[in-house]
Amino acid sequence: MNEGRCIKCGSCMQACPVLNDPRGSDFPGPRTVGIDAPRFSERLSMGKVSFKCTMCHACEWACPSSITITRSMIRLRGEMVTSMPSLPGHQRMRENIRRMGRTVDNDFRSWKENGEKALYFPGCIGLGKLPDMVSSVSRLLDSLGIAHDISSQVKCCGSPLLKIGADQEAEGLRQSNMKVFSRYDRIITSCPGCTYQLREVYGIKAEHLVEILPEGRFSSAVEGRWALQVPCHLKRGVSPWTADDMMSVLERAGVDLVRLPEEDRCCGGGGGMLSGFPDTSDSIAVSKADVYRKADVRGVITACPFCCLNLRKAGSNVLDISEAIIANR
Amino acid sequence: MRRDVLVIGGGATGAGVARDLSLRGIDCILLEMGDYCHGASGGNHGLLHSGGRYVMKDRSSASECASENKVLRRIAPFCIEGTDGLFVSVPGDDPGFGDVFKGSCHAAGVPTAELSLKEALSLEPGLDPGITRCFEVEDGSIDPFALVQANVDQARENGATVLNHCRVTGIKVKDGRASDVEYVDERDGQRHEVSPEIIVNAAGSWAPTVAGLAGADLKMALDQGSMLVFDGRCCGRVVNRLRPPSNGDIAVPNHTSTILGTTSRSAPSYEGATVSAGDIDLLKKEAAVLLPGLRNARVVRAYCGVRPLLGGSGGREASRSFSVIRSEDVDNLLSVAGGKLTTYRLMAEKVSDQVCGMLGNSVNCRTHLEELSPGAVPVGGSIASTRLVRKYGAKASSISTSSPKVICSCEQVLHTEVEHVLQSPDVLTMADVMRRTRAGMGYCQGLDCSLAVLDIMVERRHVEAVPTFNDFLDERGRGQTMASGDQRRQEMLREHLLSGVYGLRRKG
Ligand SMILES: Cc1cc2nc3c(=O)[nH]c(=O)nc-3n(C[C@H](O)[C@H](O)[C@H](O)COP(=O)(O)OP(=O)(O)OC[C@H]3O[C@@H](n4cnc5c(N)ncnc54)[C@H](O)[C@@H]3O)c2cc1C
Ligand code: SF4
Ligand code: SF4
Repeated sequence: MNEGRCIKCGSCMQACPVLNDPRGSDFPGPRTVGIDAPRFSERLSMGKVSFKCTMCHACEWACPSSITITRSMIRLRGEMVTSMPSLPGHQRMRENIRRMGRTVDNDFRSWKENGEKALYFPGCIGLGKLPDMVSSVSRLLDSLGIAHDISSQVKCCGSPLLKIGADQEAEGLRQSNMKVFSRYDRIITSCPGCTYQLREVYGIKAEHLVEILPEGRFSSAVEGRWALQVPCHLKRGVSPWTADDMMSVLERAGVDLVRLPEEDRCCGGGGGMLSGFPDTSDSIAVSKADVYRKADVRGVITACPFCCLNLRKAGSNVLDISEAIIANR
Repeated sequence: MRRDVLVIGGGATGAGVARDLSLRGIDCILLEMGDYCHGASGGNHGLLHSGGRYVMKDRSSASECASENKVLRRIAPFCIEGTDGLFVSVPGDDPGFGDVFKGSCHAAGVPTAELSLKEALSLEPGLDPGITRCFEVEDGSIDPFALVQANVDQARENGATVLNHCRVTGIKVKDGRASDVEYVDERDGQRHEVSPEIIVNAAGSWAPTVAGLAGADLKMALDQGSMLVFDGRCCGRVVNRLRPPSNGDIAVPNHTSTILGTTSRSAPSYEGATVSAGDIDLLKKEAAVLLPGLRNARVVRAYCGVRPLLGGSGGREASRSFSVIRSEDVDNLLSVAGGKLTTYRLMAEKVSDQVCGMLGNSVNCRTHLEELSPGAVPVGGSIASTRLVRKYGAKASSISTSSPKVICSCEQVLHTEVEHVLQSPDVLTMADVMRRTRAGMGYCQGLDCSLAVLDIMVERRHVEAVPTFNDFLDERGRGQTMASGDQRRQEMLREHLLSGVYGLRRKG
């Protein structure tokens, strides 16, 4: 609760990818939703546009008063969901979780349940939409000598539920997942959103793949010039060093990297935007894809299933970091 | 120009008199030297009294408050938040006081009920968990600007002439009667004259000065009170300390803030009243006793107001009741003074009854029956549009909400609101815009909105930008000299941008 520190400098609004997108201009913005609105007794009348945020944390990074803006936006969202109907996309997501434990249907069949010490937790989008990426992460872990399970027992980490204010349901998922986690010494993730959730909300030391990679030696699996898409929840959620790690792993592997000032700007896919406001999410992704097209690169390397999915939809050629490198024995 | 009645003063009382008289079909004109609420009506605590505050020492005021509270909730619901209030004691307060309080409330007709401590803490989780007793009363918060404007509007609808920014500068007296009254209109800088049958002096703290213009004598003690504005609503209800009235023992949640007050000491004049560092220390010390959260809340500004008190030694001992005084020197001069914002309508009724008696008019008062701004319905869809009704009553429906452009984020003011108020001939300055829209009243104190408001004024009114802006800064600067903590950081940024970057602020 540090909203009272705001001095109205406006930096957060300048940083916000949604506010600065033509399809996002009806979003009241981080300062209004996070700082100003909670002071009003009429705060719940703000309507669903106040959910139009990717939770990219760019506002928080820009804030000279170190205000945890996203946290206060989430708190208000939690209050709002009790008084208004959910967005259709959010409702669907919630029903999916209720029905099958995950946000999206999944046709993943390559479970590994051998009682290993480490658990790879790919997350709903990986399992449901990007099975190839999950396999390539798993292969990379194998070649690093990290024997691991991929458990069919785990459910959604709950992060998307918290973003739409469904706290109680998120807590149910946490309890169920913690039972599975208790059988393992090490939890490895490939989704920055899951990583953040497991660390901040579950309080366990989950490791994102990017944090493990600096230990290994790799060569490039790709040709030509590539740009980076630095995932928001990795750099601004987990740790700023992850972005440097990502870059140095790729450079040491011999990938020809082109650095762009926009590389850490949000893809538009987080915070329940893909399900809640697909048009805005799309529009943000399309303008990012444009940046990459103009930079004349072969494609984009990232470390986040949401970035993969959203930028691919917008026409970029996107690889997860696990698909761009090969471990050297 | 001949008129039946001239009302001097556009605070709650004067506006209330103009409304009352016009509803009785009496031809009247009101002159106000500043904007409406320039005096105590704009510098008060905004508490719609239940009467609980006065039950011990001033039972008739308490009863007046209790009955007027009900009337105002009925006739002006749009500008009132019926939050209800609590009277709370803490360890160290006289344990027997609660019973006396309860008995006195009963005797004065002030509805009250004792709550269990568990109930109290669940209703108001911000209260100190160590509280010892708690009573519930029907306090509320009220927006004086919206209230007074609604009175002005209704007076006009019923034929009254109401002019702000017109200062009464002279009253001619002939044969013991006031004849011609001279005033200066700020719009043209010219002197004008009006010749009323009767003058109602509703000039609050300036009432003795106005009486003096006619050579009449009026004695009044001036008592000043300071208040602190905390950002955010630190309580849902009005929270009063359960003890004999003292400094800093009421917190009123209103709009986006919590207002803590008041202090009480004698003032030399309205203009001479200022918030001292001592006032601030005193209030801050008391702040956290009932509501510990206030200790960490941001103090946005401090302000003060001056109470005109009739008789007695002044201060907290003096009666908060009111009187209507017919001058012995000038036969057709009625002065009204004292009272509360809460009882403004009743005061206006009594004055108007007397005016009617003098004019031989027998129409009864209707101000307790007619709703102010009837048909005010919230729009919804955003915070800004939902709030329009609170500020403008039924006039809110003529403000466009089709563009969501917000000009002031602290107070969620729409761009179209500023355009709307600029259509009124009452509005001359940026501060006039602020009092109506609240743009500039939030914690950034106008950093975010003031240049945008200025821009619209330059475009619509062709005002000269720099002097207009400096006037506004002067007015807002008054409560800001002692900013501390995050408000100090805010002031530094504002100062840097406005004077350092844009070179706007007048130095010295
Ligand atoms: C610190 C403080 C806190 C208070 N808190 C509360 C509260 O919480 N609740 C409550 O019910 N009451 C409260 N009151 C009391 C309440 O504010 C006053 O009773 C009420 O506002 C008085 O209104 P008024 O119209 O009589 O006087 P004012 O509002 O002072 O109006 C007098 C007007 O006359 C104008 N005027 C003066 N001279 C001239 C002239 N020559 N020509 C033209 N116009 C002139 C002035 O500009 C001014 O606008 C408080 C008072 C103070 C001081
Ligand atoms: S988290 Fe990102 S999208 Fe959301 S308000 Fe902040 S900057 Fe904008
Ligand atoms: S960046 Fe921080 S201090 Fe600046 S306006 Fe936004 S919340 Fe306020």
